[in-house]
Amino acid sequence: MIDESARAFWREAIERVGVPIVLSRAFGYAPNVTTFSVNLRAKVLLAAPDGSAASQQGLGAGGAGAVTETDRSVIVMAEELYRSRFPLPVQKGDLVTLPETTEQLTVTQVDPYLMAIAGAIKLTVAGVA
Amino acid sequence: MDNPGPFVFTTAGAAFSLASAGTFLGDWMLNFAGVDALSLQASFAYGGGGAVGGATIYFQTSLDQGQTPIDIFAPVFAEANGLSVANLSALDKAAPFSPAQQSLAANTIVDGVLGDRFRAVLVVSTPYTGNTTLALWGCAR
Repeated sequence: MIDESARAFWREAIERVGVPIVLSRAFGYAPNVTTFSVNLRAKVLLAAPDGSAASQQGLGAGGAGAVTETDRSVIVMAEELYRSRFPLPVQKGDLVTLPETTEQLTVTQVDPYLMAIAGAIKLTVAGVA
Repeated sequence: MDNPGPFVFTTAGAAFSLASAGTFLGDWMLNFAGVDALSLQASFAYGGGGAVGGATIYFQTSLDQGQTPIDIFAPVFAEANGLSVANLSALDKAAPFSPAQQSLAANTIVDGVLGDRFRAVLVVSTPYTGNTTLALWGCAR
């Protein structure tokens, strides 16, 4: 169930501090690949703690772990994805491009539940370090 | 309509596979209420395998929320690259007709009937191999 206040808050937050992104999915097998892309606005956070690395070091999943500098967290409104007709659900391997910095990032994790009450989806994306 | 523009037809959120024979129902693409026109494109890139008439796509719409699919375009591909495009208008049909369900004649259209949703159904008679790829697009207006 979506809380309308939370959704309005996040919609406004993305409007204020979000940046344009291009979310893409490639279909087919090389060289016969076609790509579907949509232009969205999303909140992009910088480095995200690497939880799996923390676990590997015995710190526990809740502890602060290694940070890969090219990791990003991208928060998008589910309704915007739906409206743009992006084929849902967002999947590992989908591509996120940040036109302002020309970064090319790959979706490594999709968490549709963390911010579900606000109708937002959190993507963890990674670039090439 | 509220959200015109391009979209891709998928099955379970992914591209259609031609690697095995069978009938594969695509996802209903929703939220098209008020659509006036729809352009459809089937792009077939041949890799290997298959047969003449090996891949038939039935683009469908529905007027009863998906309970009764209606064929609106049926491109067919064989053993070569192919691109098939059709444009449909919601304002054209003048006479009653009996809709087809996965039986529309090859490379024909049914114009004038556009519901609030669309999907593609892929029928593969002979499996394709290699990097054979099928990309199904629509553009609503």
